[in-house]
Order: sequence, then structure tokens, then C-alpha cells
Amino acid sequence: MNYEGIPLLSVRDLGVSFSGRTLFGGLSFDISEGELVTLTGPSGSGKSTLLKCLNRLVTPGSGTIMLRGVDISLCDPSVVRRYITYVGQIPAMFPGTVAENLSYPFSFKANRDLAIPDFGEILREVGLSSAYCEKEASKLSGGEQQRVAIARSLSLSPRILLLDEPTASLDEKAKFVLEELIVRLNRELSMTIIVVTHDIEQAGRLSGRKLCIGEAGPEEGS
Amino acid sequence: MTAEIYDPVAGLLNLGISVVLVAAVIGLLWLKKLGLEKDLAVAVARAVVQLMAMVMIIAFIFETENLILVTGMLLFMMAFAAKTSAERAEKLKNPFRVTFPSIATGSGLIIIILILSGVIPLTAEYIIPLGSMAVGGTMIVCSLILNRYVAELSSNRSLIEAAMCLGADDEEAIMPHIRQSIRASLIPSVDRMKSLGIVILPGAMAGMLIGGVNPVWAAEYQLVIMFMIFSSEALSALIAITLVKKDFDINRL
Repeated sequence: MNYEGIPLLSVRDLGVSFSGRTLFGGLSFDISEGELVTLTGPSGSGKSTLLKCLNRLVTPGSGTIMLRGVDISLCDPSVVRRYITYVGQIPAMFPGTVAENLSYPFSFKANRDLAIPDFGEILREVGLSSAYCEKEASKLSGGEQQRVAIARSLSLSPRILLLDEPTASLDEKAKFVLEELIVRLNRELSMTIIVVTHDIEQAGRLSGRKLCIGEAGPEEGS
Repeated sequence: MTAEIYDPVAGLLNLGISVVLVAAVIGLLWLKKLGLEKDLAVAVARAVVQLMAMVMIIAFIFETENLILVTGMLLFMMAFAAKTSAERAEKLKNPFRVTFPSIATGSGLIIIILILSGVIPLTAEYIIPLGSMAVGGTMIVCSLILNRYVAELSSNRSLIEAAMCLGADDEEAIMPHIRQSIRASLIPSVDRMKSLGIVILPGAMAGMLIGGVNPVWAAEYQLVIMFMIFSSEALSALIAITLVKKDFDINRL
């Protein structure tokens, strides 16, 4: 199929309301393959909710989200989530070793047709050695856990990686290491990444396209 | 079996002694500020009033031996048990819709199998007491499993969300926590069976022994009751979890 001219992700007139309060409405933007987008906005503006709409964790009240021209609301949510993976603020580690964490997604029905990658290779992509495979995931530092969580998502070969304030629970040093990793994944693997951050300086360091949501609606940043 | 003549004065005296004991425990709980004393006082008052009222109804049903009344009585017990259990799962949407089918099917099916196989005679004297044991057991298991299910899901929200974000469907994401809820809810039933005869001399067997029945027969009957209750409880737990997981929504956790 020829995808020329069709954006990887296309959001049109998206709106979400909770208990009668509109978080955002009329949100429209396109994201091309290989873009690094930082999503900023004041607290409570719905940045995290927007990410969750993109991988069908939250159902929007209005609007459409198209992945390569296909309306994701018509697709199986489990399959959408394998293509658009989401990593939360605080990395959730399943019980067991890092290798068990990396292999766990392949036990799900939606992923059974996927080839299991070389976990050592995936760990190297996020800056960890293959020796980490045997380590107990829950005993790793916050920064290491966040990298394992990203590796776990990358193992599914997603089209888009959603990172929800990935450095929020990390110290300064771990924060910079993770920012470098995000930029490297985007540049070297051409991974399309959308990062939510409340930190304007971080958005600058990530040096991708900036998208701001707020009371006035979506705006392209400089 | 030997039947003693009922002495109302001695009966009331015994009841009075036990009420004083419970009152002392309630006082102790109040001193420890556990916040349970009001709940317990209401439970004690309800137990006395309910049991006395029930005894009169049961005596009437025993006399008439009307199977429609027996069935009605069991259905009433199931509905009441379901309502009580539903109160423990108030975070769920319409929990009675889960507890009633679980308790009614879990206990009802086992009672019917035992009647059809001839283990329980088709008489009110057997069906009502044994049925009430099954209903009571399923009620406790239902309360435990729903309570644990809600707690497990709330405390593991991030893990469930992470699994879903990696392609798990709802059932795959919550299954580890469902297994944990089932295990936890059946722990009291399994422990009761494990300690049977050593730690616990169950009510029915104790009553039969006091009544002078052959101990082997009493033990045999107690095993029937114990297995019946456990089967009802396990079945009820599985039905409850099957029904409750249909309403799962990550955004309501």
C-alpha cells in the first residue's frame, strides 16, 4: 500500500470531557513518521489523557484519530496498543527478572504472531548491557526501570512511542541520560516519539517539534 | 438421638451469659478505638432478632413440609446473603447483580445435586439447615472475593495499565490479580478443611455427638456437609469473578 501523503498519525477535532468538565476540545494535528514531538501545557490541561486517547486507554468524547489513514476506534484496542505503545510516568515492573519483563508482552494474544527479538540487543538500544536480563526488575533504580520499560515497548516494534513525563520521578543525572536516549532513539532508529513534559527547558533540550495544549486549544510551539 | 425438654428459663440465662461476653468484647474494641464496636453491636442485635424470627418461620415450614415454602425460604436466604455481600463491594456498579447469581447458583446447584443423588432427603428438616450452611459459606466467599478484587485492582492499577499498553486485553491484564483474589477468598475454606477434626469440630458433627449419634456416622455426615459447602463456595467464587470482570474499566479504578 502506498502511504505517500498520509500522515502516520492524524488527530481531528478531538475532545475529552470528564464529569461535565471539558479537558480539551477541537484538538487537531498531524504527526509524520520519524518525528519527535514534545507535548506541553499547564497541569490539568489533559496532556496525559491525550496520550491515553492515542493508544485507546481513554475513549474520547468526540473526534477521530487515524493511524496511517485507519480510524483506530474501529480497530481492536490491544492491536492499537501494540503499534502505539505507552510508557507511564512511574515505570511499572512486572514481578520477575528484566528478561521476564521483556518476554511478558509476547504471552498476550495480540502479540503472539510477533517474532521475539534478541532482548540483549533491545537492552543495548536503551543503554543497558545484556547482563541486565538476569537482574530482578523491581530492584533496579528508577532510571534503569524507566529504560527497561522503554525497552519492553520497543521489543514490540511499535510505530509510535508515547512517553508520559518519563523523567518525572528521576534525579537530574538520570533525567539527562533518559533525554539523550529519547533523542538517540528518534535519530538512530527513526522512532516516532511523543513526549509529554511540563518542563519547557526539557522540551527545548529534546529539540523536536513542540505542541502545546491549553485553555486556548492546540498551538504549534517555536 | 436423645431429645431434652426445653427449659425457657435456662435458655434465656445461657443467652444472657453469652450476650454479656459479647458486650465485654465490644467494650474492649471500643477501648482500643478500632471503630468496629458499632458495627458489631448492630450485628449482635440483628443476630438475636433475626434468628428468633427465623426459628418461628422454620418451625412452621417444618410442620407443613411444603416444598414451595422450603424453596421460598432458601431463595429469601440467598437474596438476603446477596444483599449483605453486596454491601461489602460498594465500589462496584450494582454489586447485587453479581452477588445474587453467584450465591444462588453456587449454593443452589450443589443442594440440587445432593438431593437428586439422594445424599440429602427431600425434607425441610434437612434442606433448610444444610442449605443455609451453603448459602452462608458462599456469602462469606462472595464478600471476600469482591472485596479483594477491588483492592487488588486498585493497588495494581499501574501494572494493569502497563500490561494493557503492551497489548494485553482486559482479561489478560487483570488475570494475575483475579487469581490472587480467588486464592485469597478460598483460604478460610481450605484452612477449615485442613484443620477439620484436629482444630475444628464442626457444628453439625458436634451437635450430632451431643445428641448421642454414632461418631462414625456423625463424621461421615460432617464430611458430606464440608465438601458440599466447599464446592458451593468455590463455584460461587468462580461465578462472582466471571460476572464482575465483565464490568472492568481501567478508567474507573
